[in-house]
Amino acid sequence: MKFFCSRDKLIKNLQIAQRAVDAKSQAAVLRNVLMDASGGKLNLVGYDHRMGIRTSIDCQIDTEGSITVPCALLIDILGVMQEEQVYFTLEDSSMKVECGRSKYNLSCISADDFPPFPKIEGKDTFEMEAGVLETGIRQTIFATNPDDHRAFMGGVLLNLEKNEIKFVSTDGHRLAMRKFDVPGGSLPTQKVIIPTRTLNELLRILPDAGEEKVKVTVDVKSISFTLDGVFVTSRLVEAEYPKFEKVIPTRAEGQCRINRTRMMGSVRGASIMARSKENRDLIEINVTDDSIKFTSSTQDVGSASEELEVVKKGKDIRVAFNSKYILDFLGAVEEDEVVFDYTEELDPGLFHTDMPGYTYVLMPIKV
Amino acid sequence: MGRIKALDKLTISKIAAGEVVERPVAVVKELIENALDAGATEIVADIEDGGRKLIRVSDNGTGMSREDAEMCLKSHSTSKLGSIDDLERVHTLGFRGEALHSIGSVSTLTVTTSDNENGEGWRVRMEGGAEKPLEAAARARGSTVEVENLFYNVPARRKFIKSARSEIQAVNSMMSKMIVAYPGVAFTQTHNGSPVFKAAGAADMKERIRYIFGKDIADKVARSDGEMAGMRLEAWFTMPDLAFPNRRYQMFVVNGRVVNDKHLAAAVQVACRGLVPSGRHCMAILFLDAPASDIDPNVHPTKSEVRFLSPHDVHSLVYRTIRGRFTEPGIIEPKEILNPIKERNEPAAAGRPSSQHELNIQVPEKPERSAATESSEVHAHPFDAEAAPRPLTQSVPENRSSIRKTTAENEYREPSRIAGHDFKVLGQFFKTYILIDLDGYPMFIDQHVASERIIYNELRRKTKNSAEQLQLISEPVETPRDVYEILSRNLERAREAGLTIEPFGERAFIIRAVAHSAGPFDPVELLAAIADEIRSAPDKAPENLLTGRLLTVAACRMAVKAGQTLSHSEMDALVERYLKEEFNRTCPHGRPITHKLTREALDVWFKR
Repeated sequence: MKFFCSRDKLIKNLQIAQRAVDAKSQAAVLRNVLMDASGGKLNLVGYDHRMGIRTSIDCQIDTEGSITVPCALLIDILGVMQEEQVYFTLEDSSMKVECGRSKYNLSCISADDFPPFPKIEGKDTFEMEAGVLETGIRQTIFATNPDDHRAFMGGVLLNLEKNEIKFVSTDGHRLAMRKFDVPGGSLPTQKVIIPTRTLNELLRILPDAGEEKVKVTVDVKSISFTLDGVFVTSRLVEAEYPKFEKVIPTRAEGQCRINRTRMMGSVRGASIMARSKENRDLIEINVTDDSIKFTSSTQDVGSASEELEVVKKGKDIRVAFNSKYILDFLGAVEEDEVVFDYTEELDPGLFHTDMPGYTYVLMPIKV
Repeated sequence: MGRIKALDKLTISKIAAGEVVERPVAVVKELIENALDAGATEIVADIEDGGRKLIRVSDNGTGMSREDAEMCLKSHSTSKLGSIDDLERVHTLGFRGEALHSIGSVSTLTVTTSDNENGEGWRVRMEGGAEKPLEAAARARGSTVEVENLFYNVPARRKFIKSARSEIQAVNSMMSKMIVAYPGVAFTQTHNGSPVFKAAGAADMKERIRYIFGKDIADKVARSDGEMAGMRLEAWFTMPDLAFPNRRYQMFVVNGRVVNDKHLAAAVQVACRGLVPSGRHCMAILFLDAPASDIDPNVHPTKSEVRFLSPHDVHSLVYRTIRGRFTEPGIIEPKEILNPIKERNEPAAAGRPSSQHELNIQVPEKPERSAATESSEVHAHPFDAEAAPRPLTQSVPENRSSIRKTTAENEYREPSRIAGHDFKVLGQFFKTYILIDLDGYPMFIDQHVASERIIYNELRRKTKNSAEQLQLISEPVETPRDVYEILSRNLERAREAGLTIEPFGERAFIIRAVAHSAGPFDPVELLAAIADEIRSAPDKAPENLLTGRLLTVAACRMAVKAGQTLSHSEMDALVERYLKEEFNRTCPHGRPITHKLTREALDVWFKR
């Protein structure tokens, strides 16, 4: 195996593949990245049995072949090198890495020991705009809870119907749902839960994808995405997603409209005085006539009160929420004005904007 | 006339009965074991009034012939043992030949049995020890034993029988063990006519575990088999995914007999070390089959204990079987479980810090220096009004500015009076212990744990009326039967402990709200812990377990560390707050905080 390629491109792509390399794995081969030089391409593969990433760059190949190399080590080495081209030569089980006057030797593990990606069976393949995928993930991912004992909270539900895509997440206290209409679409009917970790990695890769289409393949136990030369495959969360529709309130007895940036400032302010161990970000919201007040207090520390003007319809309300949850919502939307629908003190509150498609349900705290 | 008399036969029987049948549960157990010995595959137990009114156990076992039926009520009569030599090879559950006779002498006992398919059977009766003649009766093959009015003729014993509820609880708990121990046998149990258990026969072990312990445990249970020195072990256990505060979910079945055994419990404990947080226990069911000659079940009349010929082998078999499972790759990932309350407060520079010796040079000569103060350090804060040489503090950076002072040089400090105590801080030793004069006694205080206790109590006080986070999505949580029974009667107390729950179906709860300050938790484990708390202290307000654990960790992090230099004013404040605390004997993890030296202790030391 002998080839050379651009050092910058290699580093960039190794860093992408590295996201699926488990540096702490007990199996040495899983701490490595698979390098496969064939057909003028160098493929780089990271795989930890849960998630796999394959990316490729152009290279000049002298002899084709494949091998696994310690991933973090290789990135470190490439980082200190100076020249543009880097040369690789495999001698026995040792990889010679040369760049300018730098020469390094890395012990390798045979590519035969590297686990293959799972076979895809009974697949449904379709395309999705990168922007849709990115927004859908970004607006829901924060409401998952991978640490919970309930497996379905460990990911975002991707709910596909003919011409509708829904992203849904919940941690038991709140639920975020983003819906996209695909006019004239012919999507397969699917309901899968994608692990939070996979989505986090996708988010890091996606901004580079621009306007492109992402090819999505859904299988019984796995899902894969192909975008901009990067292939990501992931095991699905094996769990039944609860009937989320029934927790979304369908009526409200009051509604207020608030400027989003101002509200963000006020909630942040009030949460400063609720930071203590015992309060854990609890703030109270008090809506009267044409104002909304955010208050908090901690014994021996102090109290806060932030007031904003609102346009209110219907009844007044006094309700307590975890301020972090409200800030998550405010940070996930972009519109200037947000809408808060409420009923009673102990009923779920509904946050949304005038742009249809995004719904955020939040359970209050009983004080 | 002499006062010592030989007891009559009836009295002897009644006394003997007391050993075997202490409570209704013991009767049920004896009868079920008889049914199992008779090879039954279906056993029905009907109990009334906690067993005081009626215990009826029917089976479809081999039954008894007419001759056997006549003999079965005699004292020390058994079909299971021919001579003393057979005792070496006992493989049946019963063998002492005491049970029926004993039960019959303290109740009205009726045995209906048949050993043939013709419906031809016999009935024998015993009333308070008096045998009634045998009658013919129609019955399918098998036996039915009815025990009515247990202890009616032993008022002393009857008085000690607890309420119907606690007796039936004991029966239920014993039955659930039997149900798990004999997956092949169908068990049905009723109490006052309403069904308690209905476990279908020929079940597999997972089904049984699910039936008794609930879905969560059954999902996480793993099996491992081992063999050694002629013994075979089948182990079912949940570690490291789930751990409980006690051994309630551990069960040992030795040659088909449910026993309590310290050796087995200890072996499980050792096997779990490092995988289950210390002080917690995994759920474990062990089935041990050993040659009858290696085991002596005749230790106790109720046969709840066994003696092993070679406890060592048993220990290593259990250890290897359970532990081995976790070294096999790919079966269960043995995640490293750290004790959540593990402390990281090893003093960075315990003992004599070498770097500080140089500072010592700058300190003005002490008028006198005793041997004791040579090895100790006493720090005074530079900004403390009573601190000595000022100029020095200006030349050294703040964090190193504490000055070595000896106790001898320390200016006189007025003792402070707190919570009925006079105290005076004498100094800090090894950057870890504060020495104070408490009402004239020298007392050492561990600065870390004292501070931890203060912070913990403070957090507890503040979180008492904790807010509750309502749940948007609530899934039913299936609990073990005993947990369900207790919690469903104590919903209010569960709420005080941090969980608002509602019963859902016959053994599950829905969690409606969780204490707002709660950390992450496993609901099955937590519900079991709350049930235990209620069980062990029915009248005490339960600790908020949800927040309690979290606060312990928080307090530990926020507390003064060992190895941290404290100024005199800081020490004063710490000791003062500490002495004011109500529960101040141990830190939240149970370590002692103080050590007081008495005159006697010192006298002994100096051999006065």
